[in-house]
Amino acid sequence: MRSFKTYIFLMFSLVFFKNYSQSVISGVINDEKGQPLSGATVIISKKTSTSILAYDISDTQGKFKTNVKDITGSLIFKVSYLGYTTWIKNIYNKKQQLLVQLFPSTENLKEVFVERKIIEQHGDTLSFSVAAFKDQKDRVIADVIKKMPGIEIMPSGAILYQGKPIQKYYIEGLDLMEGRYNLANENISADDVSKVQILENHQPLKILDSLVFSERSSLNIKLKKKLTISGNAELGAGFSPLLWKAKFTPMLFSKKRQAIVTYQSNNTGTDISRQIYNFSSENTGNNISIEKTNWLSITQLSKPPFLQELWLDNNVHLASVNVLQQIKKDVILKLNVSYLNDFQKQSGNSNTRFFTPTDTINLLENNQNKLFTSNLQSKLIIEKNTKSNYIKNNFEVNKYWNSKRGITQLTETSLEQNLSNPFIAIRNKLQLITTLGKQLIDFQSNIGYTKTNQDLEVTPGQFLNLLNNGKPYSKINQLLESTRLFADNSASLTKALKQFTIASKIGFSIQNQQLNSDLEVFENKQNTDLDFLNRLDFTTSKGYFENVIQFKSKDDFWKLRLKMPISMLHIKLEDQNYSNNRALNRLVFEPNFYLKKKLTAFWETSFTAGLNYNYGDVSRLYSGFMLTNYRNLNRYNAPISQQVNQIYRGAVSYRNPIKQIFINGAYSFSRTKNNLLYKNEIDENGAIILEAIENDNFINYNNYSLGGSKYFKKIKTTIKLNARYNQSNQEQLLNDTFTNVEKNNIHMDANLDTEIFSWLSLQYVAAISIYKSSFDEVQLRQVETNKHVLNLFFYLTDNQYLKCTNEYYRNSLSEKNSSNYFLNFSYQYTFKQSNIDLNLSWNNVLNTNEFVNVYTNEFTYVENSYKLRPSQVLASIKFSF
Amino acid sequence: MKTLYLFLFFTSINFIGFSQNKLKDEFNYKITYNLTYKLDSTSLDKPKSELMILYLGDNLSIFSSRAKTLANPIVIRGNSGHTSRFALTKFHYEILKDNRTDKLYYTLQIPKMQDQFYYIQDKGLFNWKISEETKIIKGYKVQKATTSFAERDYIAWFSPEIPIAEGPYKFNGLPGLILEISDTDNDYVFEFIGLEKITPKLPYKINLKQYVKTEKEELLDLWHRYRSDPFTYANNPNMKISPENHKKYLKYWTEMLNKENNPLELK
Repeated sequence: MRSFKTYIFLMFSLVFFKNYSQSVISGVINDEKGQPLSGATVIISKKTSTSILAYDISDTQGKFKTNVKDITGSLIFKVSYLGYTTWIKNIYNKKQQLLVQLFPSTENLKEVFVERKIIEQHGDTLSFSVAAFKDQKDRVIADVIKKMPGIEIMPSGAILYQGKPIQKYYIEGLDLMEGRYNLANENISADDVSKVQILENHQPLKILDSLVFSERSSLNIKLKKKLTISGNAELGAGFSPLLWKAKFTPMLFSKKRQAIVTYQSNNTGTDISRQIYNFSSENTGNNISIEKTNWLSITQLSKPPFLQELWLDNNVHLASVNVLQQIKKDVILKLNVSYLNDFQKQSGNSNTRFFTPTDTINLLENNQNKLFTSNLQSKLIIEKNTKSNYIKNNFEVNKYWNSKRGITQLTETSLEQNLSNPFIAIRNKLQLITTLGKQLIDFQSNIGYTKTNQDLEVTPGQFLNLLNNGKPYSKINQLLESTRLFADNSASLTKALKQFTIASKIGFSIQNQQLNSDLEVFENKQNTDLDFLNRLDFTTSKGYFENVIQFKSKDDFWKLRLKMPISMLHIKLEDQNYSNNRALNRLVFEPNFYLKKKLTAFWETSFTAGLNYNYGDVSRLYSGFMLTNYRNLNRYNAPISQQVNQIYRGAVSYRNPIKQIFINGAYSFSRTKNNLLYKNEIDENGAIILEAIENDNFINYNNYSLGGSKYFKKIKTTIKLNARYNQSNQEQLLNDTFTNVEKNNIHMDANLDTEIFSWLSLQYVAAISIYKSSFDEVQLRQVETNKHVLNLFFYLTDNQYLKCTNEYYRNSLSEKNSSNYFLNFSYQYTFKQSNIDLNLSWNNVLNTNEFVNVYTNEFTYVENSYKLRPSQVLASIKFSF
Repeated sequence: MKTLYLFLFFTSINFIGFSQNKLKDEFNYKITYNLTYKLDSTSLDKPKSELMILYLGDNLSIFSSRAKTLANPIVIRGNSGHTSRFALTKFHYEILKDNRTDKLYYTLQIPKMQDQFYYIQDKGLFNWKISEETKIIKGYKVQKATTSFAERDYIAWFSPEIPIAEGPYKFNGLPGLILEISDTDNDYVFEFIGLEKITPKLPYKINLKQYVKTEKEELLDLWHRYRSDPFTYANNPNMKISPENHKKYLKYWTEMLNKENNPLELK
């Protein structure tokens, strides 16, 4: 700056040299110690007025230089620096050099305080009157909320306040919708709402308020009336055969009670079973789950990896009721009951080729399956949210009545499989947050019970040699009963110390599992010997103490996390078959280390290393044979399984937003040590007998991945390329021969996204996968699959668009039908005034009959064909009321 | 052994990357301005306003919106940690002025993302003309000065009673703090509303290594690209969006961007 100004002054001095006298006044400014002061202001003014003739600011050496272009004889020379006494002197208007020394002063600048009310509106509730924002064409509350300052509604329905998603969507202070607020937001009439409130930095748990800072905001809807009813509906029909689709969702809101009811049904292949689950999201970590275990199964068909509407032959009905009731001021009760009924049909062929060290076995199957699902799920939540504590109790009961029926046609014979697998699960989860001194403690309890009775009947009988001395028999029946009881209780606390966060958790869990199974061979209906039944009682108890230390450097360059869980494990297995009972006591330390380092603004690296142990999975512990499906007979007649896993992962990423280039690369290696080896015995019919024997063995797994993308601004195109290579090897025992099985898998894909015109965009995906496996010296044939997807989107006008999807699949293994091609159309029209959506879709335009899918296992090739839905047209309409 | 090598690799990278890109100082004054602006030239009758903060240290000053200072954890400590409706900002820059090098650093963080950029300019961007006119602002005697900058003409009021050659935004170089400055169209008006001494001094540090060095035009272009399509910009592989939804977003973003057609710097 100074140089620039000097330059200007020099110019002036050249031009006006003759008319004006030029006085260059320069000098040095020092502080009381004689050190140069930089940033001091030097002002030279006329004695008679405030008019400034010249000024400068001292540089790092304390130097200044001014050029006075005036004829006044006497000047005022003033030097000021913040925190120092101002230096004023009368000087002559002539060229001179001055040495100025300033001395500190105690005088401060006069402070001017910003009015408090402008700044401190924290903890404040912003309130918007709906009447002020609403105009005639606004129908639902979302239309109005959209216009409020700071609020954005994304097309997905997510609401953002100041660019961040809101945390809670309350209606009259009650959170019925949880994550699904979209439903309420797009259905409640704007006329029913008086105010929309924004709760900034809202901490939903009152006990954490002012202790745990929340960056997020919540939204509250204040209703005009005591009772508001709204909802939406969707209806659709099509052919052929006759297709229907219906969805009806009424809602009720009042100050103390709120409800959403939904009924849905279709036979169009749309899976609605997920609709039950996403109702309440819970954030609790490693819970013991109450998921259903399928011990036994009928022959399964692998599902095609694309749009369900193309292949799922269903007939589903779902009814769900969600009620919220406020009992007391801070106590609410939520009830969620859902019932789902579904009947699905599957049909297809599979060709399995088994490779053994000595032989190749081919198995051809034609499967016709019928799946009946019927389940009832219920959940009762009581939540107490006060300043002194937070309690949430969640009681769940789920019951399933499922059965499956399958007819399998083999080359010479046919067989029938019937499976019934009812299941019941009960669980209670309790979370309690309370203060202990100044510390917050979080107690969690998880108690549950599950029971299943599974019954698989196969006609005619299988495994003749083993089960009936080689003679044919009419029927085999596998009975199984499994119960599980568990309790897991823990307490945790978190402390923050400067850049460190330390979280500690202490807890105790116990789990008891009982497994009874019998294998019945008809006609002689007698139970076979001990080898074919199980009476198992398996108990795992674990006391654990976990510490997690996290570090984040001030400049965000380093991030570090160290997990150090220690647990005391006791496992006991009582088994009537196994002569001596098996037990195991272990002190287990499972450290996990994560490091992230930002190298420059573009480069970042991360590194992970971890060690963990797995002991005794009951699904691999039974010592009597079990028929898990018609051609698998398993038993694990061995000690308790022990697994030690080591995992390492390193990754580097490059992100250049200026050039829009992004690259990621990662390598991971893991090594698992097992004490058991699984022995497969494959007979000439493809039936497998699996047994476990004690023999230390290792599985090594290498994974390399590399990906990159680049956006080309001029042609509005993004190109992405990804490649992955997995390699693993392990020892296996196949028909009594030790073999080293190696698997290799290469996957590559390319994506292209482009906007050709403003009304047309295009998406293209090409993917290729190569599988290669070998045991010992034997190389199995390489399997290659290709996929090409081309999607075209036509934005005809503002409120209508047409989508055309093309998919092409090919594999190198199938002799016939090795490639499949699909074409689908979908068209949508939105009536702007009434907010009604009309949708027309035509799936499987080319009427492709079946989809052929190929995959490989350690020693098998499986080629599956799945019968698809025929070419179908569906029209549907969506509206709210 | 593999682990050891990896570890050595990571630590070595760390040392290679080391360089002198750190600016630090301790701030002892906090100046608050109210900025009234018309970012949307289609609705000029509806100016918006926002609080802007200028922190002053002996060698360094930093200017940003108040919302940015609240979001900045270094500054948040002196605050209760609560944000208000004023945390909403249209201005994502932080402008640093360094006395020692006479350089101005314009830094910009893409909201909700890690991407940070900066460009350097010479501090001496302004050719001031001081006039004799004076007035009083909040008890301080101020004097008028005029300049032109980025296609706009400005009238500034600075106070020789506050001997700091600083001001809001990029403005600086007058023999006294600029307490008020506005362009002649009144599209951007900075008004002084507060001056506080900070005790104890507020330490501040910035590591420009975390920032991508760029040029002004390049940064403007990038910002425009981000605003017109944050999805494509972010390139987050976990964020999947259907093309028809993407189209809806694009329309929405274009509308938003069209309302930001009147920036302070027209060129």
